[in-house]
Amino acid sequence: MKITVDRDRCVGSAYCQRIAPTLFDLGDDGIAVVLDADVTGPRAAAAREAEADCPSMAISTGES
Amino acid sequence: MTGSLADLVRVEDTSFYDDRQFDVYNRMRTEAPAYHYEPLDVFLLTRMDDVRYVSTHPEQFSNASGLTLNQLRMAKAGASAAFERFNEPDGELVITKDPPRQRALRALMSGNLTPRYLQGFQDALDGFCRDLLDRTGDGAPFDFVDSIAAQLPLYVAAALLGVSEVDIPRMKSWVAALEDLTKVNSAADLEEPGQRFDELKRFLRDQLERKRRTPGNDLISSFLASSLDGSPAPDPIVLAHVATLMSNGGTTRLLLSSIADLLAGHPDQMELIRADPGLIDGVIEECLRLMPPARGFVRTATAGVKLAGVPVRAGQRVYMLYPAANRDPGHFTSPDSFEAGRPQAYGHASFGFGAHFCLGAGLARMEAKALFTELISRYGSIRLAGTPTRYEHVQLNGWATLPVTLHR
Repeated sequence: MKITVDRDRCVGSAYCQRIAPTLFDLGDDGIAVVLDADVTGPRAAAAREAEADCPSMAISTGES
Repeated sequence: MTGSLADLVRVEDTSFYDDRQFDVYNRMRTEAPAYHYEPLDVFLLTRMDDVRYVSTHPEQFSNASGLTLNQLRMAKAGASAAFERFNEPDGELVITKDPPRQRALRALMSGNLTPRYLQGFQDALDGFCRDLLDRTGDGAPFDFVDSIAAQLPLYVAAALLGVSEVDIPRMKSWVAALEDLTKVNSAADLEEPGQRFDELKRFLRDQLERKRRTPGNDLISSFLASSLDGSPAPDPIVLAHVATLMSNGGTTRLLLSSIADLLAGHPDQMELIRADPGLIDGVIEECLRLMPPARGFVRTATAGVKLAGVPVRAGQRVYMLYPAANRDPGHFTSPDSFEAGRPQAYGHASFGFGAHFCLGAGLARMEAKALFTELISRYGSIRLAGTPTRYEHVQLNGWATLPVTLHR
């Protein structure tokens, strides 16, 4: 799986960081950064949960 | 519940918002999910999917032509000009703009109010929580709203903005003035809160001058050092956003009082979080979901569009009813029950979605978590010590008074 964050859409809610702290962090500007873009298994499930819950729909997960 | 929806849907009437509102929403969601409320020519949205759609399509649903039902009421009464007094000329408030301008203004705010920046205030926040709880006696009755919920956001705002605690009583009156704005019944009623708002603006202009001479480690100083379109952020914009930050302590007050009320009504959940304080996050989200501090916001259609199968013309308004969307059974199982461990905790609409997602969400959650972490470390139960009174307001939801006692 390939995780990307659209930095123009991100509103810094930090939901992704709360849901999957090993996959997402917030940069100094408060906008999400992906820590590990290429994941499989349970971590891919966590990434999909972050994608679904992102309040600004800034996260995409797709096949790598 | 019988009767026609036209008789039951009384969204301009504060008495509508008691426990019976939820049965009305259930009917609206199935019978008319985009219900046309004739008196204000606005479509009321009660399904989560529609609320999410409208929030995340700002090109189709604009923030620039009114945000609250009361604004629509005042416009209908010809009182729009009186409303303008509350806006700083050239203030360009982020919530009243659409992308792309909205994005630039938002970056000014969010670039300063980052989680990392807020972390620097954690110790001060914990100290405020201890002080406030030290002042309320073990087992002695007190008003949770007046003694704690109204105080904490003001202390936090003073610390964040680098303003003296001496000014807190005045800040409290400015918060009330802003809330009156969305509450008044006539243009004449806008005069008194308008005067208090003028006073707030004078106060903030003085603060801006003070911080320009002697910058500190506070938000006013960092706004003044921020750039917008490649130039220093203009004063009217800084002022408008600082005023918003200060006055939005009101919604945090409502959230804190609602959490206390929920825990008083659910001693089992109180026991759960005492055994596992990590569940406090879930309690906060459930409270936001069940008792959203802001009941909703208006958007204006920029072009003709269909919502829930209903045609909406360009210029017509829609109103997103958060307490209805938050109990949409299509999104939440047993939507009326309070479950700290609910798996879909973050799906609620209470901070909005999309470009206008609440800028203060992180701060509000941080305050709630600090306060209730300290409270449960001291006390095993919150009990009502009298009849609480609802805050009489169409848009804002919570308690005006909440008499309680705390017990070990």
